[in-house]
Amino acid sequence: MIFGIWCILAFGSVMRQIQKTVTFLLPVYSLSLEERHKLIDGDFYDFVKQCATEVGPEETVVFKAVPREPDFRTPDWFLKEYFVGRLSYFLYPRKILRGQGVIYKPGYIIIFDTDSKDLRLNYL
Amino acid sequence: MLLFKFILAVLSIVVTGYAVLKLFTGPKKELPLGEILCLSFGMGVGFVGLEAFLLALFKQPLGLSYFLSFQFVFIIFAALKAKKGFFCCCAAPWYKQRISYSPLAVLLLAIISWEIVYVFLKASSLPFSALNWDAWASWGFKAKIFFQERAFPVQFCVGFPGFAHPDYPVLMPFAETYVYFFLGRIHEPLIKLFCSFFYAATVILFYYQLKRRFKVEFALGGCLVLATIPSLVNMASTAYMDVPLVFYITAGVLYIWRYLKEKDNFYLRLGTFFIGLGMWVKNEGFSFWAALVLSCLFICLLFKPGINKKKFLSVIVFVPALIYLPWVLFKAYFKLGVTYFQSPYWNLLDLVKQRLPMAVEIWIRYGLDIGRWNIFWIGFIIALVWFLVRPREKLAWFLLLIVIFQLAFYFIIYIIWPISLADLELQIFNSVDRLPLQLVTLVLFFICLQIGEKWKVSL
Repeated sequence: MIFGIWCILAFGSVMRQIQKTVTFLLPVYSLSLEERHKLIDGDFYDFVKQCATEVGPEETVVFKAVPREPDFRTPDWFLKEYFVGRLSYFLYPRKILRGQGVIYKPGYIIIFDTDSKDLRLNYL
Repeated sequence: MLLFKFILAVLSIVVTGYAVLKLFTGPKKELPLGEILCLSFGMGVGFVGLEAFLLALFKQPLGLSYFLSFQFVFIIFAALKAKKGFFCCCAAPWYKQRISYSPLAVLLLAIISWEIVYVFLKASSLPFSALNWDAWASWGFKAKIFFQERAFPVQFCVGFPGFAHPDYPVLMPFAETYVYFFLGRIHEPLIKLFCSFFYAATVILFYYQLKRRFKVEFALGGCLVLATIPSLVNMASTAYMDVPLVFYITAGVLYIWRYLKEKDNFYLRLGTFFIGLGMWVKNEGFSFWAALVLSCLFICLLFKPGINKKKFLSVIVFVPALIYLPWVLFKAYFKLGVTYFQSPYWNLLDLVKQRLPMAVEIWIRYGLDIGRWNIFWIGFIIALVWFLVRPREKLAWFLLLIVIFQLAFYFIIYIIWPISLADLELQIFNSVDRLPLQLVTLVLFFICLQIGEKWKVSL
């Protein structure tokens, strides 16, 4: 009987999975990787890409403390609250939602050569 | 092309794992092909992860040629040792018996297959999400650093305060790095797909463990329950390391269980090896090992398992410890302490009074959430009561004790963790989906032993 109840409940979740696959997962496969990142990160992705193309080589990135949950209503919340400079999109986690506890203080820089696209990690 | 490289990466891991397995099994050992593939994958991931870690410590910069040449030499060595038997993969007599799949079995198989396909689709569709923090900011981040740096920047990992959890073992990040080297670039969806293979491997391995003792329909029913646990399905596609840990612990404990039943030393070696690798996956792997040692000790004291107890306990203690030793030395050298034990506990009784009811309440509330667990934990409670009243298999205490000790470890950590009550509450909420997940295969196997009397097959 317990197995029967299990199957009935599991059937509902399988149906939801099929629906999600048809309406969301399969269409995502037709997107490029960049578009998939945008799907996750929204405008933040464009911002990082902009940073990566507009600044000169050997730019310094300093990660900044995250004092509180950001105010998403302000257009430049990520600049004020999150970090100074720019970062490698692929290297460092993108949206930082946790707040304090993960990045305590500026303490590390990422050297990014825009010509060679090489990254180096250096201490401050 | 990228997918082709990814397939090559997985194939190289499986072939290397197969070579490791052959060194253990020898040419005469007979296991079904599906079981061999799962074991080879697990062994292979363990091998390439440790290989990358050790090479990164002694040889930099890392490169695919280093990895492959090292693996090639190892495979040649294994092939020479196994001789003709290296390519022999014959099923055991008990498995050769003709299996007739009833419509019910076919239906169960179809649902299990769908779950695996769904997890693969979900994993490979999108990059890491910020909602799955550790997969992205800890495990995945480390793998990217190792790949970008072509090295293990030890000082960075140890000294950078923002580096999430420097004391976490690095086997899985290095395994992800290995895949990145094959791909030649960072590709988050494919890494998530790679991690979701552990889900499929766990389900398949669980099937073969059940199939050894029960009829096909029952084994598939057990697998269906495992494969459709909502929390497991959700976690399997996120690249959290809990599912790989589940795989290694499942393999480790269930092969040791098989040793206790069949007295074949091969299973003991295999099981302890997997426990050792599990210790390299997450810190909880260490507590699983401690729980296993305690459980084995109790089994040897309470029952007469008909084995050489001293030898059994020695293997259980020393083989995983030896495998884990390099990471212990690494941590000791760089003074990477575990944060749970860093402050004195003056008022332990107060902490227990304050924290234990809160933790238990949250766990029960979440455990009864059908959306997360279906009726898994309710089923466990029923099976447990039944077991205490009328045990079908007394040796199931072996599994039950591991679960009890592991649960005790979780709650001890909650009690002694030197953080405020509010932070602890947050941490419990963060872990309440993941920690019970690490126990599901052992709990489910225990349930199956208790309720599966009617479907048992003679060994």
